[in-house]
Amino acid sequence: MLSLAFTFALLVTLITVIGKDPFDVFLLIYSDVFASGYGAGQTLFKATPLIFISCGLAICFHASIFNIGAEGQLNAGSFVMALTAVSLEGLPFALQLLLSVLAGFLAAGLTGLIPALIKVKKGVSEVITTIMMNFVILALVNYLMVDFFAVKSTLRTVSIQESSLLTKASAVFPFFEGSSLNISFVLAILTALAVYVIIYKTTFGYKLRAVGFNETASKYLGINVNKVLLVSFFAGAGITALAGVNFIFGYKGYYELGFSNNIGFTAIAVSLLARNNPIGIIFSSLLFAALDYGGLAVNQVVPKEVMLLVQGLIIISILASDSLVKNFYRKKGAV
Amino acid sequence: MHAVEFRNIGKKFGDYSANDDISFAIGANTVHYIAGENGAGKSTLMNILFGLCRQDSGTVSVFGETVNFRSPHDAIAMKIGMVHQHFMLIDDFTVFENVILGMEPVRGFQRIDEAGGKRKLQELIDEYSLGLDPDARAGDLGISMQQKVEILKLLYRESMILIFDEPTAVLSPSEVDSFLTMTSNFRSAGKTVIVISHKLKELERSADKVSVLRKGRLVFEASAKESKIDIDAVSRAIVGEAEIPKPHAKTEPGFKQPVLLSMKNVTYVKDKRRLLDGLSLELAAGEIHGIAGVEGNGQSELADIVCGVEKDFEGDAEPSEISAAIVPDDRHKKGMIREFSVAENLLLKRKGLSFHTGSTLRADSINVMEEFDIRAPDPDVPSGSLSGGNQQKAVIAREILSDEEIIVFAHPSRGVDISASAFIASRIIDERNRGKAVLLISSDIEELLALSDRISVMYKGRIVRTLPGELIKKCAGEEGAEYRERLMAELGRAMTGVEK
Repeated sequence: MLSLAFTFALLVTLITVIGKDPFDVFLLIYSDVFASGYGAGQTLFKATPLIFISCGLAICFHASIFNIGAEGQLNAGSFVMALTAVSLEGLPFALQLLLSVLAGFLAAGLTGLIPALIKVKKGVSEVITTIMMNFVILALVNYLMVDFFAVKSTLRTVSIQESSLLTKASAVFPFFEGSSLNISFVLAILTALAVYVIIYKTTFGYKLRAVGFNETASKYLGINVNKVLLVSFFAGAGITALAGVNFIFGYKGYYELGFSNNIGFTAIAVSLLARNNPIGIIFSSLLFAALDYGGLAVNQVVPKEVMLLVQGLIIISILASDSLVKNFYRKKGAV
Repeated sequence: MHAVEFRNIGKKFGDYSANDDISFAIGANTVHYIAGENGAGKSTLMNILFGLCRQDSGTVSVFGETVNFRSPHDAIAMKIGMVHQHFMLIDDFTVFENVILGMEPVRGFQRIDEAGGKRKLQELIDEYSLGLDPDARAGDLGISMQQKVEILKLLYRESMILIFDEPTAVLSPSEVDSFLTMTSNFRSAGKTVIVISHKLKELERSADKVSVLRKGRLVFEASAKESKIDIDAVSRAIVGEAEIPKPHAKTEPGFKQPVLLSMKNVTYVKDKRRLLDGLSLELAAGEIHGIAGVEGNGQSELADIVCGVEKDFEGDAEPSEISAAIVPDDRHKKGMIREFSVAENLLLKRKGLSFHTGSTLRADSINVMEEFDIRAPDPDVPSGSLSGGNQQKAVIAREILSDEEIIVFAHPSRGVDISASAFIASRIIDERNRGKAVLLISSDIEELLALSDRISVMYKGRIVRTLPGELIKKCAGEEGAEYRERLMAELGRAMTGVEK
């Protein structure tokens, strides 16, 4: 809370310094993001992939796996998902969706499994390998797209048929008229709830957190540490592919190079902001999505990069205040 | 003149009084022991003296001058030095680099004067016969040598008041002897030595004076000036009205029951070092098999193999799939997840649990906490916030309840106070009486003699001597005192490889 207030104060100062009226800016954000159905819908739409990816990362982070490779993993997953969807055209929609999602999940999961195996077998830090995997995967997808799968003179795959698109929110609630918000948002919320239960309520989650806190002790407690690491890396990476559901089935109908727009990195911040709690991730995703869309809204008054700045400030101040609070308790509790 | 004088020191953490109106003086040029249970306020008092925290009330004076330390930096300037229980060395630095850190001898423009510094270091090493090599890498040294590096740090800073927090907890008997000699050397050199310790035998041998704290108050003082310090009085003062529980009695017969584990010619190599070298060992149901030895002679590797953490060894083991419960030597690193609550920690080894629900967990944990005398305000508090003794009891509770046939206890009472360690001893004997096979690894010979049905001595990765049960039984009781001394000396020799 303190950190948000601090960020807010800094923001007001900044806007004043560049010679604009902060009140105008906030009014714009309010009217465009919260008061308009289109704006609210776009915010939820942008939050959807963030929730998916951050939940996947949260699983990794709880196991102390610092997975920086979501960008590559989600692209591999979405790419495969789109191809599968097109090739399964004609099957009943539910089956087509399910199989495509499964294929995407496997592709992303396997992408995550490679650095996981290197970590477990050779002890190489996943930070390095996942960053490198991003380059490899993006280049590979790029190559496959350009040479084999892309529709001529575009960077996208063939579209799936119109009837395979998920229900738009505006079809049910006219309030969201024009926005791309679709039913994947609900799926994202359900995913977050499921991941929450897995992490905090099941024995697997319990083991996962034990390994994350203290690998050595976990070994002595008879937990198969390597198995936990592999499974959580695979599952966490796999879930990031679900971001593709929103884009492919909910929005465009095809996979397009660059659709992710570095969201795999933003998700790291989103997850950390929520201290890797999936329920918290829903809210931090909404916050980041609102800032992202708010940037577009205020672009006419101040540069939209201001909102990027806000995102950065929030992360820094939350991390800083977090450790301040921790230090405070440590001092109090010291005997 | 007094080296240190505490006057009416009070320190509260929340509602809890860690120090309550403590006043006493520490004479210059003496060895002064401070005794008390875990949580009695010893460490808080020393932290105040060393500038790690500040008192709420009262004053501290050092050599007659009232001081008000804001940080250890101020204390070091007043020639006070402290060796903490957990050493603060940089493994990759040499002894020399570690010692000069923070007080580098400089020549010219910020250039480290290596020759001059090393000369001074060597003089100190010789003067107190520390036997250290200034160029050795700190991480390669054994625990007792690392402790000497910490001591050397203080000497290099010309500290006049040396504070030791539980210095002998990790030392073997011969190392303890040399530590005690060292403290008396410091006294002869005009320094003042303050030792926080649970070990009454050592206190009896080397203290000039002892101050006992209980629940944050000073409850007892004795000086060795006129007569020897009365150890019974000290131990009564430490525990207060509460009686020291007698360990439970062993039931007959002892082992002779089926052998649950037999290892033959086991060799274990790691990083090209032969940590176990042709070790053979038998462990039977209903026995406590003690493993004596100076730390680092393969005991922790043996423990890892017996509990199944380490599977990569050569030699025969029967059964080949070994599994055992273990109370590890380092509870923070290996024994518990400090961030988890007490309840969650107790649950860590429970089998056949798919979902865990809060309420049953809680009720279960409260029962276990009662049974094992784990004192925590609530099962949901983080286990890292408990005192060392209670953490240890929680680890022991979980391992005993895991219901394995074999239990390994590695240094179960290390850093644990008298009543907790008596409780732990009783639980170990109970497990033996119930027919479990207990492997008890310890560097505390007293503990081994008191509990074991037989004792094997480890030296350089193998067992060099095994004392049968009849010999150990002989030295129980008053009449065995002399025999006991002989046995201890014999064990001590075997531990250092003098006798094979």
